[in-house]
Amino acid sequence: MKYFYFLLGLFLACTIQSQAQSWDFDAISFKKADSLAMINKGASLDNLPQLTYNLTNGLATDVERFRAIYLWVCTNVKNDYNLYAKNKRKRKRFQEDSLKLEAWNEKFKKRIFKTLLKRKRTICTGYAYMVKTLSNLANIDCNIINGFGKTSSGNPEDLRYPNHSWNAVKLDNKWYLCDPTWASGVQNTNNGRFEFDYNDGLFLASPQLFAINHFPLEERWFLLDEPLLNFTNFMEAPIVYNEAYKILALHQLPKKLYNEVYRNKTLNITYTLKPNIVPKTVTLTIDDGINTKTITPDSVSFKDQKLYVSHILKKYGLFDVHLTIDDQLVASYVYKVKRFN
Amino acid sequence: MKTMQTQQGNVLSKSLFLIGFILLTTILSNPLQAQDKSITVKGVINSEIGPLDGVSIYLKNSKTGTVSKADGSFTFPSQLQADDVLIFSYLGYEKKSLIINVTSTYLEILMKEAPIDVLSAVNSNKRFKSKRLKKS
Repeated sequence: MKYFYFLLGLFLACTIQSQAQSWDFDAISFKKADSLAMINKGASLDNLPQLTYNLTNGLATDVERFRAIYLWVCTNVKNDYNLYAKNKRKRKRFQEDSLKLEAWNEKFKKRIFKTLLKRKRTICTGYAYMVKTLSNLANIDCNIINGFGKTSSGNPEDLRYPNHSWNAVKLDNKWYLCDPTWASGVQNTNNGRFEFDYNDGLFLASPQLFAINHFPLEERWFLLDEPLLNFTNFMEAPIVYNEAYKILALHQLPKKLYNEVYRNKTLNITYTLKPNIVPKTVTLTIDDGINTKTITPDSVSFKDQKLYVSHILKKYGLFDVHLTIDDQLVASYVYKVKRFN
Repeated sequence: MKTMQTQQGNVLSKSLFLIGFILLTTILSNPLQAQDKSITVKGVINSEIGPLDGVSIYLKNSKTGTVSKADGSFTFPSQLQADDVLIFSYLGYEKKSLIINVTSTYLEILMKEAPIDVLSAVNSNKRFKSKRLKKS
């Protein structure tokens, strides 16, 4: 029995250690790296080795060098909504015809690089490519990961074919994940304009949280011993917003976006928050299709970085439930509350 | 008189020592010089669609570098030594690195396009809204 506990302890220690996320580097200050990224704001992409040198010169560790590169890309490259829309349309049209798709990809690739070079505008692949290229020039191992990105539109149509690219980077012999596209800013879907709004949560993000809206084509890029979700679970998973990456380390409950319960049942939400995060206000915004109201849940408790939220669903109907922590929109769930048991 | 002679002898031995030292240094440093032979590197950069201009060429771990001209040609601005590594980089193409040896005076480089799939998903912070059946 003693041995069992010993082995269990050893196993836990190993699994805990194998998780790779931003707080591994809490001891390192990114002040110098961040200021180098700021000093080089607006630099051109004509000479990438020079840019890499300017961004990383004088930084002592790989994580700082990577930080400067990543932050520079996120704060200097714009997301081009027109390019995105065009590519999406074409890829959809050619999805059954691999030859035409390849031809389109080749043609579009040239345009992407031209736009990136001249106007510093791009789409996901361009972000991931820039982070990879500049990192490689700084002798940092970094890859582009292709796969499925689940956006807040929640539209299952978007996940019929691979639609997103992000990065994996090797620092101190461990692989980490980050998503420069989503970290860069948000698209105003009404006017198509892109607004820079850097989100630090997607820098060396927790792999478990990342897996809820990033499904890589190759399983090993989950960076988890075992994938948390298969593709069906991924499709059914709740909507998790970019802001969530600033607060959460892990999203535990509910497992699905769409849920069906009977009246007077309790809705339970469980998260593990990042170290050093202490939530002040937790609210639920409930939308019944006509009216939207924001309420304080029946019960909120916070212990050992775990946040438990529960709320009794008294009315029947179909509700969109949005959870907000400290004014940051974290996640959405849909509850169909049935009248009779 | 005797003191004068001693002084002269001192000067003589000093200058002899100095000449000997200079000679020795020259002899000793010669083989080193042979090893450190500088190489002037020139070349041309091509791709599938012809010569590439604007390719950054630089010495690994340094700021020294140049950019290829419209006809793809380049002359590296500083003298290189054997085992130096040159890096060729251009947006949209795979990075290439090359170890310099004494024979690398004229380089013909072929750059390959980066094999990437262009993908994109735009995320927004707009609240999700579930699709509802419209009540008629």
